[in-house]
Amino acid sequence: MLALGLVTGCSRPGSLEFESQPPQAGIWVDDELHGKTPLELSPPAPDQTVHIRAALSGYVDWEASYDSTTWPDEPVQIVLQKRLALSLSITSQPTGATVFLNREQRGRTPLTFDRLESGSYQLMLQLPGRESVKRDIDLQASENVHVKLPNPAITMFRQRIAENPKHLHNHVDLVHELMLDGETIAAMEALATGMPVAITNTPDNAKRFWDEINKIANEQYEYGSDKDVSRARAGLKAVFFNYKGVDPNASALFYAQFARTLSLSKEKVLAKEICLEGLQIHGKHKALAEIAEEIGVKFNHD
Amino acid sequence: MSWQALAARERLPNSFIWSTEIARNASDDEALRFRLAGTTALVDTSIESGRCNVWLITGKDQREKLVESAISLSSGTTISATVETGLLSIFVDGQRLIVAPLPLQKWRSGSWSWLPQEQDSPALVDETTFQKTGPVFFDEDFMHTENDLGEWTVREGRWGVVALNNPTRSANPFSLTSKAAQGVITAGYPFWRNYEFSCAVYTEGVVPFGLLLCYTEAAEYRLEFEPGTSIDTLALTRRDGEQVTMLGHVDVTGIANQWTVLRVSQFHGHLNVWHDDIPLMSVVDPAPLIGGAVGISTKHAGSVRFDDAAVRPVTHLDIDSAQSDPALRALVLANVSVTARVESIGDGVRLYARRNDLGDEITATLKADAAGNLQVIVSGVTTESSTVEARPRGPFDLALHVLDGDAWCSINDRIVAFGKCGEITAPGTAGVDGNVIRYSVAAATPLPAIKNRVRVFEHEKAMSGWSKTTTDWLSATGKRDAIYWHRSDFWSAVSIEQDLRPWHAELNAHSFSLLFAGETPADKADQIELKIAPKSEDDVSVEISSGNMTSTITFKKDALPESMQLERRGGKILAWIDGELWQHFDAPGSLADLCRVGHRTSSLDESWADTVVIGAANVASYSFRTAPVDWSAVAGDWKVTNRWQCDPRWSFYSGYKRNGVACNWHKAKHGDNVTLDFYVGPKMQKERGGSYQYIADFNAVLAADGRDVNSGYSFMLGGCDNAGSIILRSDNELNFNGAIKLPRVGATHRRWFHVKIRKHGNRLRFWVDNKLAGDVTDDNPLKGRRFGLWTWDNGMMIAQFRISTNADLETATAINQPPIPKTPYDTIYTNADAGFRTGDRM
Repeated sequence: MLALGLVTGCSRPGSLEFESQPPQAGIWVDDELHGKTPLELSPPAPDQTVHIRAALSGYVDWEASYDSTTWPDEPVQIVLQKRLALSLSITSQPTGATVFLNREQRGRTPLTFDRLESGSYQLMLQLPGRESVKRDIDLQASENVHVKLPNPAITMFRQRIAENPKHLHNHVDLVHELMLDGETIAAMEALATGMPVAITNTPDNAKRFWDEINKIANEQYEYGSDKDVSRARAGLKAVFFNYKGVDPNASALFYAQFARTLSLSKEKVLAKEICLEGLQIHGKHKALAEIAEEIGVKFNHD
Repeated sequence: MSWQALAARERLPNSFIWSTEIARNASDDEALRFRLAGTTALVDTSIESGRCNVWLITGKDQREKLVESAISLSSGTTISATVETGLLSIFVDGQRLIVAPLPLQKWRSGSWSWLPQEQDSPALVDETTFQKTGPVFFDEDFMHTENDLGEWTVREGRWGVVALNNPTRSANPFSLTSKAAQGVITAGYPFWRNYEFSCAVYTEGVVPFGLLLCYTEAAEYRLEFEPGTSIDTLALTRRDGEQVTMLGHVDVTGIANQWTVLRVSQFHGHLNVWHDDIPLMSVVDPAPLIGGAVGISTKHAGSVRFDDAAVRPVTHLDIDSAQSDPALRALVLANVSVTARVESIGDGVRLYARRNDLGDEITATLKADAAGNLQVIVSGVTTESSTVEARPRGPFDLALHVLDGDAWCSINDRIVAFGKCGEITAPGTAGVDGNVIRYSVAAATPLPAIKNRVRVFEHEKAMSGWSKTTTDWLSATGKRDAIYWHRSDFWSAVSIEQDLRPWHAELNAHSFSLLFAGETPADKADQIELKIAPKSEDDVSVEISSGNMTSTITFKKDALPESMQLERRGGKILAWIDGELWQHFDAPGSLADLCRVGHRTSSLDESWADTVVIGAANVASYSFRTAPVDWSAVAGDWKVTNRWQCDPRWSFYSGYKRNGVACNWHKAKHGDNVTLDFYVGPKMQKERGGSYQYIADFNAVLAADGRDVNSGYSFMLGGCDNAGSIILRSDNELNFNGAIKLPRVGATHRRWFHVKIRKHGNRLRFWVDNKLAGDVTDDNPLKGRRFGLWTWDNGMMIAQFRISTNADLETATAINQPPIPKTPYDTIYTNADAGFRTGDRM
């Protein structure tokens, strides 16, 4: 980056002019600011080494060290190199979050900034109904940032369940929010936690719980791809089987919903087996009789 | 003696606080120095001999004193240096001593040094503390359980979160309240600086409360609501230890007994207060506090509820030209609007933006040429000039808007010139060179997106008939290439943006269009269409057409645009591709007032609606997920709640009153042209019958005075005991349609009716479920500006309410103790000749 060329006009013996392209760069000698280019500097003393730095905003520093023996005998022309422009790509889940960069609203995710200088940036993403997320970014190379915006309702319903585990609505709402967030496994865990509460509740109170299971099994709301739906159905099956393992004599309503869920999940044969099992334990309970008729299970109580 | 280093740091952040505490009294010969080193400048703050001087050093013998003040260094004093872009402030014990403008450059290193009196003098300071600072963003909707206060710290009393009895998914029924008579609660940190704090408040009765900012244990600013015997006041005070100083106070109405929003900001000592977006107070504290947390205070247990607290950086400053406070330079933005009130052009007025040390600057210059014509020159990476055709009379607003790669200049909100800025390299300062009365600097943003749905319902297939994104759009035919018109009207600036990325594969075969049109289909010649369509095997074309004008640009299929946008703003039509302005031209006459927004695609995939964003000015949408702070319920029982306990996800605003009126005014004023659209449903009243035999009077009023329904036009769905759909002026019937009424049948359970009301000058129209229910012209239109919702002896629920108008939605001055509104029913009972239909009940 150091280019030498003839420059005239040096006024003191050994003094040398430092020029830069672009001009007006700050010239620092051993951390002391001497002025801006073009600038004339005196040579170092015989036993001295000086460190010279040229600095200009937006450009990479130029640096050199000289002693009296290496002090150039021709003027110095400095060509400053532009700082590399870096990119910062921001994605979020959910998408469409408003992006603030260093306090300014700059767009919505997915968003890419193409001409950033290296340095520190404060990033914030905001989306209604989601917790805002802040990140401090020390950008030294182009970067991709993916941010998941937490759903405050999930935290809230978890808290409410911790405080009042018998309140079934909170279990249902937690499952629903988790499903919409793509947290299928966590949703199934929440269903498993709510299952004993649903079974001990009155049928009226438990209706939303079973409805939610039906909606997941029958994909009555859009919570993901076909693969997600398959995973959710497998998860539901596991939740029912696990509970049945713990409580084989679970209520008639449990068996009825289990069979209905399997039926909605297109597992007709298994649905019939579970329905029959429930009928064998509980007899011709109304809910079991309904699902038995729906899926074609014949049962003689005698 | 030589300087001894106390602390040094490299790679300084853009803004920070760096503090040190004096360990002992200093002698006159001792000195303390804070040094900043940048690219082409050094800044030394020296504290010695009872003086604090800030020096700017640009060369070996080039020193300029920037500012000077008296100071004493005594044991226990905390000295803090705060640095942000373009500004250095020195605080003594948390109170600002001096502020100095700095060159716009990055400060690479900094240090504290000490010049001792003697070699073995004990250290003057013990240690330094460094804290990076930055924009403050904090949101709190109190969606916690009762005992979880989140990020809030109780300073006094007892506090808790309260919830409605039916806390459900989307209605956000949680709020904060004090459980003790005296209470103070805070959130945030001592290094929160220069922010705006807003909070929704509901008081039961006229009781005092306060908002705190810059709170530390030693000091704070406090905005307090103080009820009076005849008039209530808001007082802004500053506390330093035990000492309280009054900074300002103002009489105020409309705070008690309703949801309302108070907002207070502090930016380098410039304090501003708003109530429901009405500016109430503006004061300057010459020695402002360094910063601190936000807080809430009460003096009555349980009588005040707080919700939707938010802290934001200040991004808007109104500046009197006589003010020379260098601190006002500290608002550094990339996208910015500078608006100046100009009385005399003189030698010219120049607005600038994005001025920084990288050499960036965007300017708009207004000056008279030799012939006396006004010229506007917008200069960035390009320089474009134009002549102002209509020279403004009297004082006018000259504005420069800089948004990403484009800039434009407007006079009295009409765009007069455009320019290119180039890509953003760094933000900068903004301001005015020239003689103006006052000016404002504000962050420029795209038009705010309108959206009015509740997330959990958008996913429900069972609800897709009315909750998915396409329900915002009305299809003429439902066929391929049919135009979907957005159900809302737009009277001010509006934009529609299509995200094309999900459709790149579809562009092999299908086209997508964004459309603007005026009021009637007959205006098709003036219809504006921005269309992307396949052109050949390798190419795709983007075309904009308006009347006989057409412009086209071609893209290769391996380099397709990611977005396109059509916008009406400032009297112009703008077409954007990938965020860059591509075309602009004058808006046709048919789009001077009402603009309808449309979308057309040859694809049958309706998910296009999820990839379209509409932005609009002077539009407010309500899904009633937050505290209803924009509404003033003056009669009946109004609350944000849920319709069905068994499926409690749809949040809405319900009003109910037996044997009288339930009325709810919106707090803002509308313009000459206005559209209301909303969904309305019945409130179940089992005691009056199971088949909705009682439903009537889903009514809205506009052009009113904000006191009496009878002062405006009422649009009644099921008015007069469900006689039909009626438009009234006061209690005079202007239009009656007996064919459109409410179905009093069991199937009305869970039914929502879409109502749209339009006032265009003197013409009034009224649609129910997209069917015209009334159309009438009033030759002497009412001049009122207030609108509201009302019912009589009934209940109704409102969802997805939207107001769109042609004037700024400014909040009206609140009415203290608003009266029970007089309605047509008050007069029909006493005036048998009032002239409108009476149903069976009357």
